[in-house]
Amino acid sequence: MATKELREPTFLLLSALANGPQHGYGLMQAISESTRGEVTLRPGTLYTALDRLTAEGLITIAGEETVDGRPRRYYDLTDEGTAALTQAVDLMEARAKVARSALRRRGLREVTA
Amino acid sequence: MTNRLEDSYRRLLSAYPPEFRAQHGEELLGVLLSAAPDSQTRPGFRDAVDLLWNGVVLRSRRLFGAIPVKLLERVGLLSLAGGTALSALCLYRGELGARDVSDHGISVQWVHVYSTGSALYLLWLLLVALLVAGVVKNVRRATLALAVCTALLALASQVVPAGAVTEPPMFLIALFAGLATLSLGLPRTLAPRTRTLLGSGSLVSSLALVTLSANDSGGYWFYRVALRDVASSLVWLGVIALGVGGGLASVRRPGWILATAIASIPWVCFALLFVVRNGPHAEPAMLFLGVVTVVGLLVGDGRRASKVRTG
Repeated sequence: MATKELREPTFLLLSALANGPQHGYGLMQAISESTRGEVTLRPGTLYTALDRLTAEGLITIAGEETVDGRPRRYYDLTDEGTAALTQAVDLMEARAKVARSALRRRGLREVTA
Repeated sequence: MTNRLEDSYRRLLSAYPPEFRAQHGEELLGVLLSAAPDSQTRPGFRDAVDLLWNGVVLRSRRLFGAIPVKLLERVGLLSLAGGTALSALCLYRGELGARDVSDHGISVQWVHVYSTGSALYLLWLLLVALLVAGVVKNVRRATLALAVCTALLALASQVVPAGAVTEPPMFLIALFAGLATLSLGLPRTLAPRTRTLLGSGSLVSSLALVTLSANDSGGYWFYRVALRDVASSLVWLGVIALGVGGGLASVRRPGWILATAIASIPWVCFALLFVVRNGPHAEPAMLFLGVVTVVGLLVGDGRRASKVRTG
């Protein structure tokens, strides 16, 4: 299977779910914390992404409870989602490695010049 | 207070498709209310925009979701190419080809222009040139930029006529832009080879169209009269070019024929426009060749498709 690059919201969502099943509000908080407040997914964007990822089979509904008369669903990674996240992380690591070695070479050239 | 906020959120949620609301509506509402401070009585601006935008995006995705992604992408590319060819032609005829018509148009210092459409045509050509050169690598952003600029300039040209003439090509360009935007929502980048093919195809077709019209004096005041003579041939030439291009592409990648048929819609509108204005004016040979080409390609594509299915 070809390595597929994930868009940032997808990557953040899958990363947050790698910690275990989580509900929508919990995901918003987890993403905000993991990015130190730099990224805040708004509810509309969050649920549009959850709907799409569920349809693509990357996540699944792991459970449901009722809180204050409203449904609260817990989402979790599927095997496919785990594989997609793993591939994305590997890809990012490989790119980071190339960039880091290029920076090292550049630093070496500047020192020797 | 909470009821008022809830009602407002419910109204905003109506932007989403009914199936989505049935699946996630109450859950999303719960998150929205949980995230809102106790003192909040109305939805925040960002939340409102977020809900409306995502609702429209989701509705559009459901609407176009039935159309294969590849097909949308191909229609987008063909429309970009078609718009480029038409832009080059109209620019030539309207501005560069304007001779003996210096008493018309509007002068802005040293620049004499004959139509507000020139801004649009130049912009289109510039953006496609950037796309081909690889400066703009994201087709999605490029088509979005084209569509937005087209809409704004078309609107401006209608609202602020400034004594200039806006001829039908404006709406044709808008139609091409509309088809090109079909490729929106597809976060794909063009491969260098595709960029080269798109660029060279656009260039060749532009040159062919300009050559066709080289003997006529241009200018928008004579635009209709001058173009009428080549209109029917031009249309069918466009259909033939699209058909042959689509046929060649579909040899290795099935599906280009259908994309070609959809991308031909503006050309058909072009033909109808002149038929409505000037009466039937078809060039029999070109008409025959165009029809034969299209029918032949469609039959060939259908046979090949059935072989693929049975194989």
